[in-house]
Amino acid sequence: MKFGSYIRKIRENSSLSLKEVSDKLSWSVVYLSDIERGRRNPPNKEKMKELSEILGVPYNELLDYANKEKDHIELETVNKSENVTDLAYALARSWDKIDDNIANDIKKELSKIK
Amino acid sequence: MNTNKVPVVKARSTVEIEYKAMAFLKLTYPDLLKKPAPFPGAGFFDSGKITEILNYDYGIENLNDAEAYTDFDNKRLVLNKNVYEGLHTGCPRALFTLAHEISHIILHSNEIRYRIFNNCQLNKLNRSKIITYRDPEWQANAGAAALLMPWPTMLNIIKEKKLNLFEMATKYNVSYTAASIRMAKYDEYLSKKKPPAYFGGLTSC
Repeated sequence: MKFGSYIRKIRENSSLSLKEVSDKLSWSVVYLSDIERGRRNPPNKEKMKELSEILGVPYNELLDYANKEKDHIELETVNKSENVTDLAYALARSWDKIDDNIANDIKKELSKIK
Repeated sequence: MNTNKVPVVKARSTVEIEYKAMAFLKLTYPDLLKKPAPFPGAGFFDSGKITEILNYDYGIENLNDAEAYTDFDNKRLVLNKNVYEGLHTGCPRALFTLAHEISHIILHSNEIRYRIFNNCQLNKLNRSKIITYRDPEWQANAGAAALLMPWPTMLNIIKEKKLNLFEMATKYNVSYTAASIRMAKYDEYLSKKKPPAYFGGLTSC
């Protein structure tokens, strides 16, 4: 399911109108309608956080749908240590060489994070 | 796109249109066939019933020269922003516009889409050149009136003679003009002393 279809489904199931949601976000109702219909890209992270609160869904879930739509992932490096930032760069540099086996190894390590 | 021209559609009688509208109401808001009340336009539009029941996508756009449109090819109903806002403020004209577009879907979707998919030429003419009962806009207007002022509830009003036109317009949240056209339709049948079959066929709840 695409990002727009997902938020439309959640909004409809919550019996919220396009007007109510767009008013709360100070958006134009046309803009929200466009996002739901996939005519515009998902909003920025700040707006996404507000949207997740209004719709009562986890922010990460919205972010996952938005990232899938973009076909790329953005990682925030603000307030991260140099070491952690290096990890993000290393991952980006090696991205083309990562196959299923390497992905499984990395995922195994990441699964230790609680 | 030449907006003055519309496709000539299959001939439809008012009886057929009334029945289609009533079947739709039975599926969506059956209580509207029992008691005069406004069609909940905003609720219908926002709830996704357009997709759930009619299998059409819906949206709001800033349209410069139209109040709304129905895109049969892509199965999409779009309202102008002002019309959508009008639904939320209880504007009778906005409600009629939505009902008009819903009627297009109910009456014309299968026919037009069949023609599109079979690469048939859509015979488009100026409305003035089309016989009334083959004019999709006339049919959609008749459908809108039937959706907003269903005959079974109209019969009660007529029988009990309780409401004047202003009160009737308020009850259904339609314009005075829409209410008077609807009432005139009934009078027209009476003057011909030949009321359509559905007058007798329907139960007045």
